[in-house]
Formats: sequence, C-alpha cells, structure tokens
Amino acid sequence: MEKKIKAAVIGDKSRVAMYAAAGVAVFHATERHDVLKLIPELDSDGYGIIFISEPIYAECEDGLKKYTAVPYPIIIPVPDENSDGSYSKRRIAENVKKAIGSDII
Amino acid sequence: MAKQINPTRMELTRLKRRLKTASRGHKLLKDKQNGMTKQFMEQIRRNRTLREQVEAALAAASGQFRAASSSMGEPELYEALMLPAGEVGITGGVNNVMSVQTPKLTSDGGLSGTLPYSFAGTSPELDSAVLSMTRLFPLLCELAECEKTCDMLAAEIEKTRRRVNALEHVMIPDMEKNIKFITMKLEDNERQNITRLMKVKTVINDR
Repeated sequence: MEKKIKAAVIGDKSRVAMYAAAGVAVFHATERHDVLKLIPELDSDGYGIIFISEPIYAECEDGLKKYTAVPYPIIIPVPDENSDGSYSKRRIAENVKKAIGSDII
Repeated sequence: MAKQINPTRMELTRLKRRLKTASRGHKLLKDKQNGMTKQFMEQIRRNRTLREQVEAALAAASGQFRAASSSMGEPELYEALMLPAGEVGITGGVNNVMSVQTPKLTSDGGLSGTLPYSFAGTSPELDSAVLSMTRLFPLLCELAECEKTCDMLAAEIEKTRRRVNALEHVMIPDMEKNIKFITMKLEDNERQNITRLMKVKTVINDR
C-alpha cells in the first residue's frame, strides 16, 4: 500500500518560489479555475502532497471539499510571503467546531 | 406513525429484531464517536502547534529570501532555484484511525545540506534561506499529514454524530413506540377474544 509520492506547491510563482528550495515542485496558478483544473492533473502525476497558498486556497475551498473523503492527495493551505496565517488558524477552529460542536481550544 | 403499521405478531418480531440491531449499532457508533473525538483532540492540538512552528519558520525563511532577493536580484534568485538539488523522498501509506483511512507520511529528511546552485553569482543570504527551507520540509510533511487527518476526522465525527442522533432520537423511539402499539393491540385483541369466549360460554350455559 505504501508508495512514493511527490510534493507540489500552487500559487503566485513570485510568492511561493522559496518552496522550490525544499524540493517542492512549484506550479504557477492564481485563478480558481486554473487551480481546480491543475489539481486532478497533479494527483494523476503522483503528487500526493499539494500545498496551496492561503489566499488561493480560500478562493477554491468549496471545490476542494471532495478531496476530504480520500487520504490522498493531501491539500493544505500554506502561508505565502504576504499572508499572515490567520486563514489556517480559522480553519483549525472550524474543524474543532465541526467535530466538537463549539470551539473549545 | 404507529397507526400505519400492521399489528401482527410477525411485525412485532421483526420490529424487536430491528430494535436490537439499532441499539447495538447505536452503542457501537457512540463508542466510535468517542474514540474518534479523543484521537481528534490529540491531533488538533498537535496540528495547532505544528502550524505555529511552520508559520514562524516560514516567516523567517521568507525574510531570508527577501534579503537574498534584494542583494542578488529576483531573476537571478529564480534562476538559482530553478533546478532542484534532487528529489525529496516521501513515502505515503495509510493509517487506520477508528476505520477512517488517514494518510501516513514518511519523509527521508528532505534535501539536507545540498544546494542546487553554484556559489558564483549567488548571495550568502540565499544559502541560509535554502538551508532553512530544506530543514523545514520534514515539518511541512508532518503538518500535511496531521492537518489532513484532522480534516478527515472532523468530517467523520460530524457524520457519525448525525447517525448517533438519528438512532437515539428518531429510530429507536419510533421502534419502541411501534412495539408498544403492536403489543397493546395484540393484548386488546386477546382480551376481546376472552370476553367473547366468556360470553359464548354464558350463552351455552343459559340454554
């Protein structure tokens, strides 16, 4: 069941280029339509981890819900050079609310 | 609801069997929900800590990249990073958390200590920025695994909670109500029958 997977980052190339230094493939896409088209392609190419820069993830959130039911690909938001990480914190709080009923953390 | 069912012994047996299964299912689902909540709380705390660590490290690395970019120019920086030093080795497996298939990642530590460019034409700030990003990679993998597990567990807990509530507040009370209705109806029929028999006996005796 174990398999080799690759990691990719999607976002504005100028803001996510630093991920390339960690061996993560950088894909430039800033529009919701392009991102949602790119993800199935990356998935079939063996990219099991897809990082998306926070502002773009927020735009495509509803289109990414279908990937929650399967373990791969793992799609998570990461801060780019301009975001402050508040979106990811809100996501954690939403998850707690969804599971427990209220944000107790 | 109770009036739509047939008050027969067969229906009563069927309902009793269904009630037994539903009660057992309810107990199992409740246990599953408790187990998943426990796991979820552990994971979400880890997720928060990891998120904070990754964000702090990324902010630091981002600052270093900006410094490198200002000292050597953006085009040169992209050129230096264009060719990766190698491919990172990540093995993806599956973990079973209360019958939820969550991802399990094993990273070989990233591209530790390798720089994808020659030192000529690049600034020393870039070296430290690249090294901090390579050091950060295992943490990023850990965060990805943890965050996905949290997402999946939250969705599954919500689904299980709805099932538990439906069983507890709708299905089981409905079935109990129907069983009570059939039992009462059957007892009533039995009483009617006895009364009839008594009446017949009186009529025969009176002749």
